Amino acid sequence: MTLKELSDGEILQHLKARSAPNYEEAFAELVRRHKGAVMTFLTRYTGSASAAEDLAQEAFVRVYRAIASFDLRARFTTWLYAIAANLAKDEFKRRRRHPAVSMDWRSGAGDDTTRNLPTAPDGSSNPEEAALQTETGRRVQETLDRLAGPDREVLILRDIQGLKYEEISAALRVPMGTVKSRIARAREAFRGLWEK
Amino acid sequence: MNCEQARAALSARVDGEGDVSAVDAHLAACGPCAERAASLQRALAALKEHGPVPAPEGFERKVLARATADASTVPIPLDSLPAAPPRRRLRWFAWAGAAAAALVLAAVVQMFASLAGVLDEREGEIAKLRGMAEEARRGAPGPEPEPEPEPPAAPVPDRIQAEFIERNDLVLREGRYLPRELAERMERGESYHDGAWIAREEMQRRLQPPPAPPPLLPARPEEDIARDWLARQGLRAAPIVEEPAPAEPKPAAPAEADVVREFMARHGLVEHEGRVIPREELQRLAFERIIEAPEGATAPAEARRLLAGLRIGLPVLHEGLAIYPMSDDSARGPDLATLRDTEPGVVENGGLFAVQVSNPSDRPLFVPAGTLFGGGNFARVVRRDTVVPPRSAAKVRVYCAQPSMLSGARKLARGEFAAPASIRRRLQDPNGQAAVWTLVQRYAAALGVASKTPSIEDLYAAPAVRARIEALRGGVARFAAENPRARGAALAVGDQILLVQVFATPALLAAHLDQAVASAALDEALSRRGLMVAETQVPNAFHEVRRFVREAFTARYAPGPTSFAIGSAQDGPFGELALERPGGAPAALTLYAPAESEAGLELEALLEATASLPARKLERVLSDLSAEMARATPTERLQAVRELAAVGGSRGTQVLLGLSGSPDQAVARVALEALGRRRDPQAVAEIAGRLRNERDLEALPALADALSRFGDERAVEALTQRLSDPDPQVGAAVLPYIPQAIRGLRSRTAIERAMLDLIRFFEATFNAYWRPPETVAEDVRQRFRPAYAHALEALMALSGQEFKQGPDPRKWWNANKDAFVRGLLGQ
Repeated sequence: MTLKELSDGEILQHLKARSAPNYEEAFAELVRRHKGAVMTFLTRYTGSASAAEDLAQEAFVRVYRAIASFDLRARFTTWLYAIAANLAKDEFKRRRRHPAVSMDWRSGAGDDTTRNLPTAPDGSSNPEEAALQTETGRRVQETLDRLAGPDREVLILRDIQGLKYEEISAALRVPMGTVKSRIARAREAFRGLWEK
Repeated sequence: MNCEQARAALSARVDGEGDVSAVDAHLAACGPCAERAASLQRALAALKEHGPVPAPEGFERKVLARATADASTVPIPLDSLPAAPPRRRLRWFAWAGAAAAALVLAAVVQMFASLAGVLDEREGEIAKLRGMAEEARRGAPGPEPEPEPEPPAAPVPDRIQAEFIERNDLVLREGRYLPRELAERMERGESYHDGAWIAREEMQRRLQPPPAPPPLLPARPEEDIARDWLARQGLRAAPIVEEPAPAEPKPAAPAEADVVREFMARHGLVEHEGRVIPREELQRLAFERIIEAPEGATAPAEARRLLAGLRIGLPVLHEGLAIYPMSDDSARGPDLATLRDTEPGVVENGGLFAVQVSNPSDRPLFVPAGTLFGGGNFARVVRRDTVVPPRSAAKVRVYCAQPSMLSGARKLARGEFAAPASIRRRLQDPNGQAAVWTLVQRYAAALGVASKTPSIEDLYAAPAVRARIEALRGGVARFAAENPRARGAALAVGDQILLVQVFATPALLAAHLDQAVASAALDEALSRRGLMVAETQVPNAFHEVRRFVREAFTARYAPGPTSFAIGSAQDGPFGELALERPGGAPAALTLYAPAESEAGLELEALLEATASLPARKLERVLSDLSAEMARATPTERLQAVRELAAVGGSRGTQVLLGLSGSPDQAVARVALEALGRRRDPQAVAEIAGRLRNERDLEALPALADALSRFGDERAVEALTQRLSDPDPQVGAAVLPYIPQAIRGLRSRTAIERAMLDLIRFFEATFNAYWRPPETVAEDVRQRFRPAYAHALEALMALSGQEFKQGPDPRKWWNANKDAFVRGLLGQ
């Protein structure tokens, strides 16, 4: 049986018991499976592909270091998203604390002081990142940026990543009812901005 | 269903949830709602289609490089993991208790299991362990795990491998490549012990308990212990069974990095700090890694000094108890007598809360907090670390730990035991006294102690506890023999830390370790009711211990944003700091600071006096105190300032004001904090003046914090004035304290003026931040832009509103001014 045929749980079991013939390779397989999901979540949440890549790497590094403490009864993806979400939030807190960083935040608000304050930075200054995204992709990002953090978070998890309510609830450690109402609110907010 | 209901149910409908048919029926009949639904579908479709972002090239490689680059690649539970909730509530207790009496730098880090919950949890854990053990047995073919099968002969290394081997000076030993030095030392029979390579005979000698008769079993070399330990962790030593060749077709010329990686994996080698070492060596390095203050450490300097540089070593395992040594190379601290090696007299002092201890020895006598004195009228527990000078007697403050005994006996028994952690913790409670009496009764009942007026000593005498203490004695002896240089010990059962103690010197640890083990045994017996785990595996508590100690660096020692608190009403008996930890088990930390000089001892005596003096005598003591302080060491000064904070009177304020200008930043900060807390109006003008002239960004927050607590207009004025300082960092430093300052104001006009100042300032930062650069003068932009986020935050904190747009704060103010002011004034 090759690595590719093993489930996440089985790979983790091997990693945890250190019984994988090639520890790094087994871990790399896990990364391979979930890197897209984590990158998507973090990019869309932070609005910056380069920041997201760094955070995504960090998320997997944390997984790597903490595998021994992983409870095999839990779902790996739930754990992974929880780590990613925490990292993303910490990143935001850090940026808020260090206003110097915010100097790079989106400028061009014009003299229209009634414009909504942005809730996320934009990496569009970086041509590479811009190239990664289509015109619509950019618009999706701009619209997401204007949602409140918690709304953006659930919307990405539900409508881009396709997580179930229960999974979102477990990953974010938020009650189910709150998840549902947040999703409803986030969708309505997104729709309103998107269709404008 | 009406339109409103239908729209509210749309989101659920998209997921096929809720009353689908009712929503559909409404949509079929209602044009606008159907359009709304279609609009939602379009938006979500765009999101789904254009949302995903591909991971960049080489992502896995970068992750692996990063994960394996750090020496801490052994699993470490991290804060951000789900196991650790992001928000921690911290309970703090006053520091003053620790300050006065301590001659010895000692820290007791204690973790208390909630007694009710532990039983079930523990049983579950044991069941799990049994399961694991069972599995391992079934998996193993023979009754004893045989040595690893001979690994296949190493393949002839190709050119890249050969170069790699040469570059890193590797040699082939038993089918596996190892760094030459390591291999040679192993061949010479050397072992790694206590930070150095030594000959095996030397190791065996060191492992012999020095004065004891020859052991029944030959001493085990360290390597075996380590191997056992690794095996228990489920960690496997390399060599690793070779993986069958992957099915994928190999490229004709493999990249060098791939060959090297594969080679290293096969031989269980990893790279660490530019060297190639075996993976298990990395484990050991991680084990011995020195604890350092992490970034953002907020612990007081003396706590940091005590904890930093400690190395946590391999544990001594005995009867299910793991004792982790914590050591470093410094031998600091004075030579002190302990209760164990002197014959101190302990007698009633006429009061409930003090006893007299006389020290017959020629050395100062160290009486650690938590020591139990039995007998007398009541059993007592020592409140703080106290040092009794040589050949003299001193009053030692105690807690009364037993009700209604009144034997009439004047003499108390020398403390053989310490109060167990669970009881010490309860004593911190202001109502702890009565709670402890009930607690002791309850414990006694649980342990089957017959006495009607049970004391803590009776608990230790209960058969189950006594047997356990007896059983653990061997572990204490082994620990002492194997770790002569340890000055701290962490006690754990399974992965549960029971107690961590760090002393200034190895001698002090040696004198108090059996007390600690006994107290752990009692708590353990109480929490598990005799359920022993001696037969089960001991999972790793190492990282727990390390994390726990690291947490002590960053724990909040106070409610203030800059420093820790002192002299609160809760004069915590052990100066313990309780922090709620992930996983729910609360923990407490006790830290004591040293008195290093003669003046320090004098100072302590004076401070002790201030606690009980009437106001009129206080003045004199305080003037003595400031004279004494000039002669004391910085650490002592710091402690003294903390103590002073608890002392009233205008003279106290004067002394603190003097100290707040101290060049010693730590002293200045503590003094300022104390001034802020006592709110003596005579201090405002002085601190405000200092804030106006302060240019040092590091010093500003402490000044601003102190000022913000006075509830004085002059203070707020000084704070808002600094907002327009040409240096933008000044405003940003002061801003966080302005909400607190405004909230404390008691005059309507002062509140209104301050709020308007703040809103104007916010608007300036807003414009500097958001207007296009060409419409704002560059100097204005530079000055106000950096404070934007802080200003917004301050206003949101004050108003409780979420401001979204620039004019929002002013609009809110105009509409809610009266209500806001009335709210602040409590009208």
